Amino acid sequence: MRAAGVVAAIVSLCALVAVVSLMQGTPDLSVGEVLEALFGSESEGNRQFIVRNLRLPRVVGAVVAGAMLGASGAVMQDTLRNPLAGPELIGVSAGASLAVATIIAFRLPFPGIALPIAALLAGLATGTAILSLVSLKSNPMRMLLVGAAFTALLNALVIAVITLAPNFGGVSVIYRFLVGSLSDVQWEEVRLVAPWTITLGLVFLLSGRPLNILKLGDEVAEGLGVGVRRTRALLFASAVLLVAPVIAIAGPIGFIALVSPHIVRRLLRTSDARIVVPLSAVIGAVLVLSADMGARLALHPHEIAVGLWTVVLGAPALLVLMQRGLLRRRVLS
Amino acid sequence: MTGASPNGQHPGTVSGAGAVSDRTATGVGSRRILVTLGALLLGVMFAYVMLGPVIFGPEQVWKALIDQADEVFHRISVWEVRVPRVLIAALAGAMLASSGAFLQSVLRNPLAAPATVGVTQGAVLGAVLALAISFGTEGALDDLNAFVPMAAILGGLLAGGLVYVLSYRRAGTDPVRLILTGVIVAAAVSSVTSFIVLVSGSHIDSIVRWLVGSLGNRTWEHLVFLVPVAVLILPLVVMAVPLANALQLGDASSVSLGLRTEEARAITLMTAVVLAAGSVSVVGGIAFLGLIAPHLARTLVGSDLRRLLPCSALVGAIILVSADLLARVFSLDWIPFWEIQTESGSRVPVGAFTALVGAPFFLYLMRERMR
Repeated sequence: MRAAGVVAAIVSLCALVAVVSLMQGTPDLSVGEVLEALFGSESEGNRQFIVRNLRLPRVVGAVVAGAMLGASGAVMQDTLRNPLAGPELIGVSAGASLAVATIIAFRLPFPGIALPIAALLAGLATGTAILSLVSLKSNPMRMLLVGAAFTALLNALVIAVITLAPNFGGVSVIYRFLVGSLSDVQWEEVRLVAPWTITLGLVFLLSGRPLNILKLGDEVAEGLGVGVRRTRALLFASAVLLVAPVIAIAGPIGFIALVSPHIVRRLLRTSDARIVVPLSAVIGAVLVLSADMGARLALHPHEIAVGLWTVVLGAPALLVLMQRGLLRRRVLS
Repeated sequence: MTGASPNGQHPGTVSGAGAVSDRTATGVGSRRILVTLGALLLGVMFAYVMLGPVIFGPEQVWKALIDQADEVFHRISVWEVRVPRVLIAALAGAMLASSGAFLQSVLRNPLAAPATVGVTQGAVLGAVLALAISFGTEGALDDLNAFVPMAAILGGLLAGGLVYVLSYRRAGTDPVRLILTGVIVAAAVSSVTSFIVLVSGSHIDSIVRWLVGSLGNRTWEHLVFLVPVAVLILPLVVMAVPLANALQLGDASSVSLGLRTEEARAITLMTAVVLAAGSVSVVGGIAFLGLIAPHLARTLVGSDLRRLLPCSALVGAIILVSADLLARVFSLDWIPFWEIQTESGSRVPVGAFTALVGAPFFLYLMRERMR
C-alpha cells in the first residue's frame, strides 16, 4: 500500500516538474497556456512554436536521459554488488564522451546514427579496462578511486581533443563533453535517442530476477543454476547500453545514476531490483528535469551546463554514501 | 621539531648491514643524476628559446641574450616572449612536482598529487574568484594581480583543509580515505569554478587555462608573481623535508621515533599546498605533472626526500618546459597537414600535452601500483 502510494507520488512529481519546466523561460507561460499549446489544435502560433519546438524536445530529452541514467545506475550497482558503482564513477561515461567528442570535434565521417554506437563501444572498452584492474571482491572505495583517476585522465584527453581540433568550438562544447549539457537537444537529438529507449523496456522486464539472484552472492547464484559470469557481463553491457545514447546527445551527466537508486531504496525501504530499477528511472528523470531547470533559469541569462549542477549537488551525496558504505563494510567484516 | 632530524637517516639505516657505504654510494650516484638533470634542463630551455615561429640559431640567441642582437625583433622575441615563458614553465613545473613529491610521501599513496587531494582545484577556484571580484567585467580572467596568488593559496588551503577535516577520524587521517575525499571534493570545487567562469563570460583561452593549464601569453609580469611565492616557501620546504621523510615510514614508526604525526603532517601538507597554489595561480591546473614527476624521480634516486625533492623539481621543470615546447611547435601554422586555427591568439594548451604524454604512463602506473 505504502509502496503504491510512493510510486504514484513519484510519477506525478515527474509529470509536475515536466509541466513546470515547460512553463518557465521567456516568456513565462501559465499552466493553461502550456496545455493549450501542447494539445490545442488552433493555438496561437508563436506560443505553440516555443512550447512544441523549443521547450518540449528539451524536456523530453531530459526525461529520457534521466530515466536511462537512473536505470543504468540501479543495474550497475546490483551487478557489481557495489553501492558506489555508477557509469560516471567507473569511467564508462568519460570513455564514451571521449569517443563522441573525438568524432564531433574532428568531424570524422560518421553518420549521426553511429554516435550512440561509438559511445557504447568506448564505454564498454573503458568499463572493461577498469574492471580488469580492480577485482569485484575488492573494496568498493578502491574501485571508486581507480574510476575517478581514470575519469580525470579521460577528461584531460577530452580537453586535449577539443583544443587540438581544427575547429575549436566555444565554451559550451567543452562543457557538453566534460560534464554534460542539454542545451543542444532538439527534436533531431530526441529522434536519435528514441530507438534506444527500447533497452529501457527490456531492462525493466528482464533484469529484475537475475539482479535479485546476483545479489545473493556468487555461490548461491551458481547453486540456483545461474551462470554468474555470463549474467554479470550481460547486465553490465546493458547498463552501458543505457548510458551510451545519453552521452551521445547530452554528454556525461554525472551522479544521477549513482544517486537515484539510493533514493528509491531509501523511500521504499526495499532493495528488490524489480522495483528499484524502474523507479530509479523515474527518479532519475525528476532529477535531470529539475537540474536542467536550474541550468536554464538559476543564473539567467547565462546557461550553466546541467552536469555542473548535478556534480555540485551529487558530490556531497557521494561523500555521505562513502562514509556509510565504509561503516557497513566494517560491520560485515 | 628538532627530534625529527635523525629520522631522515632512517631509510639508510634500515637497508642492512652495509648501510653507511650504501648510502654514500647512492649519494654520489644521485649527485651525478642531479647534475645531469640540471644540464638537461638547461639544454631544453635553450632549445625552447631557439624554436618558435622564427627559428634562431644558438649564436643569434646568445647575441639576443647579451643584448647585442642583429635585429630588434630578435631581442623582443627572445627577451619579451620566450625567456619569461620558459622561466615560468621551469619554475611552475618544479613547484608542482615538489608539491607532488611531498604529497606522495606524506600520504604514502602512489596516486596522490595536488590535483587528487583537491588542492589544485581549490587554488584555481581561489584565483578565479579573486579575478572575478576584482574585475567583475567581461573577459577579466585573463589578467593577473597581486591578490591572485594569495587567493590561490587560500583556496588551496581551504580545499585541502576541507578534505583533511572530512577524512579525519579519531585514529588520525587514513591515507586512502583522504585521497578519495580529495577526488570528490575536487569535482565539486571545479564545478563551482565553472559557474564563475561561465557567468563572468570570459574568453575561451582563460577557461582552458583554468581547466587544464596553459602558458599562453605568460610574460615577465606573471613571473613576478611566481618568484616571491617560490622564494618565501623555500625555508618551509627545507624544514618539511625531514618531517616528510619520517612520515613516509608510516604512522606507527614515526610515533615511535617521537614525532607528533598530525602536526608534522599538517606542516608538510601546507608546504605542498603553497607550492601547488603558487604555480596554479600563474599557469592554471596543469594535468598529471604533479603525479608523474615524483614517480620518475623516485625511480632515479629512491624515496629519501633529501634527494627525491630536488630531483622531482628538476624532472618537473624538464617535463613542463618540453611539453610547452611541443605545445608551441604544434601551434604553428607551418605544419602542412595540421590546420590549427590560432584564432584570437588561442594556442594548444600545455596541459593538453602533459595529459597526452601522461596518459600512457599513468595507465602503466595503475597496473604496477594497484596490484
